[in-house]
Amino acid sequence: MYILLCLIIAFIWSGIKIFNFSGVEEDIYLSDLVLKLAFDNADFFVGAVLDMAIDLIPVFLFQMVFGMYIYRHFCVTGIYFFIRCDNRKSWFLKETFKLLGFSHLYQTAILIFSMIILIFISDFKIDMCGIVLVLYYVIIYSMWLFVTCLIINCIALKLGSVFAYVSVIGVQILFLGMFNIYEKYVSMDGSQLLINDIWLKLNPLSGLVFKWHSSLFENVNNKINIFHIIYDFNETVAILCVLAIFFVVLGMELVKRQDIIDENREIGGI
Amino acid sequence: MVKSVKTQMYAIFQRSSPYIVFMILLTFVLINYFHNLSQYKGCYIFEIVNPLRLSILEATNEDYNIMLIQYLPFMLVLPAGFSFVRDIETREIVYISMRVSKIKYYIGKFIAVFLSTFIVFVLPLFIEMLLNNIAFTMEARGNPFNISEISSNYMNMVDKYFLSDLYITHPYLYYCLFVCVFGAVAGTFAVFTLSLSMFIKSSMKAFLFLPAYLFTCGLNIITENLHTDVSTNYYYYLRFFDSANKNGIAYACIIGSVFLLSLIIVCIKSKTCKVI
Repeated sequence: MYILLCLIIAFIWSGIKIFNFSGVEEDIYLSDLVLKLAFDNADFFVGAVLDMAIDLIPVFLFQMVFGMYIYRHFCVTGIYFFIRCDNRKSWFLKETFKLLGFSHLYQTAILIFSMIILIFISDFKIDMCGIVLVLYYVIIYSMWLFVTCLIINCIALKLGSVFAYVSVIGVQILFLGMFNIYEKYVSMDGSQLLINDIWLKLNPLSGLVFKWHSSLFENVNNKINIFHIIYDFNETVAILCVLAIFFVVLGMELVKRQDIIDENREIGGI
Repeated sequence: MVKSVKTQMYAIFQRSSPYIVFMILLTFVLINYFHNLSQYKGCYIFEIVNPLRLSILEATNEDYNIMLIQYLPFMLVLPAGFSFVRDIETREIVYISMRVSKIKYYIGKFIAVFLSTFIVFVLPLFIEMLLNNIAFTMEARGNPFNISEISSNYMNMVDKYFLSDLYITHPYLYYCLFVCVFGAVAGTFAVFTLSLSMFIKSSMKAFLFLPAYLFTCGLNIITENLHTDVSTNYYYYLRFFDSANKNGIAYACIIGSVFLLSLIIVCIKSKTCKVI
């Protein structure tokens, strides 16, 4: 059921996103597609922030569906499930791998469906630059989904699903709103940029905006690095990997200590 | 019916969530208020912007209202959207529907959720109006664009406001009306969530964030994809004194339809549902 849900959301979102390409008569390259899917309108003014809020829709939808992927075991028939589970830590690790698989599947499905639709409606071409970007797109976006879903699951275990969602989605919206403030208080152009790019890197949501990144590959760098700063994709990947490991370890501890004979945590559970 | 509404509103306000949302809104309001105080400290009257236009939801006040309105689809569910689910959880549904009738319980729940959300969202904005009118003189006639009120640019901008005639003749009434519209939109989405929580059984409370979020997102996507001149993004409709191209009547019809749909669902459910 989860796989089907992943594919349905991915298909609908690809259709919505690719609708923008309809009517374009020029050749569309794979790199253009990836940039389109990775916050192509990102900037520091209200209109751009609103566009970025729309680009966050598939992220929020995935988080709403998979934010309870592990936590749900503690709500519905929790006691029956865990008295048969000898090692909860290894069970949690297995579940996190499944969650990682789903997030990869989701991002890959968005990309593949978009490519299929583009092949039918325009002259779609694959370029080398696009292949590198695809690799980073799948890794960075799926790791972001994985980490955020893991955080939601961990918070939900202690404080319930509603609080978990509100806090994680709330923090992401706060990061989004910060981009609008950057325009006024942090100069992002000209000579000030070298000093202020630290503000850009401090906002985790910048990691999802590909055109602000830099790359070791020159042709990729020329395509994306609009601010001409050093903000390598590998930095973002490394940070997300560290966060993922941290929350997996934290989750294992939480699951181990979680009381399964708890009151009804959600509707109709035990 | 009044008894049912009273009991249910009392139950809603016994929970912490309406107060949390109220405090979040009040925090936004106070941050904006103190920012205005520091900005206009020591200014002459002709330099000060009209107190009404210092509101957090004023169109040019984008630093604060963009964040507030992005939070809105999630915040409007919190005060009372989970109320029916909580009643099932605590079995309060049995207690109240035994005291009033089953139909009165459901209709009372609808009214109570709408009113509670309305109050939570409207009160901070009226507090803001009061604070601004105390701190800044009502005689101040300035506007955030620093242009003359009789200039053609300003007049063209005012013409684009929804109900611009009312704004010109009775600005305070216009402001109060829009605060109430803001509260009513919040209340409508709260009852929409409530009706879906009655209709669709979900094992997780958090899924109830989805309907309001999806609906508002759906409206936003239309503008992005169809490249229409008229914006459908709810952000431009909920801000006050906004001169963006928009169709207020169509938006009112959409919100009205959501309200009616929610009411129909609740009415159907009140007749078909078994309490115990």
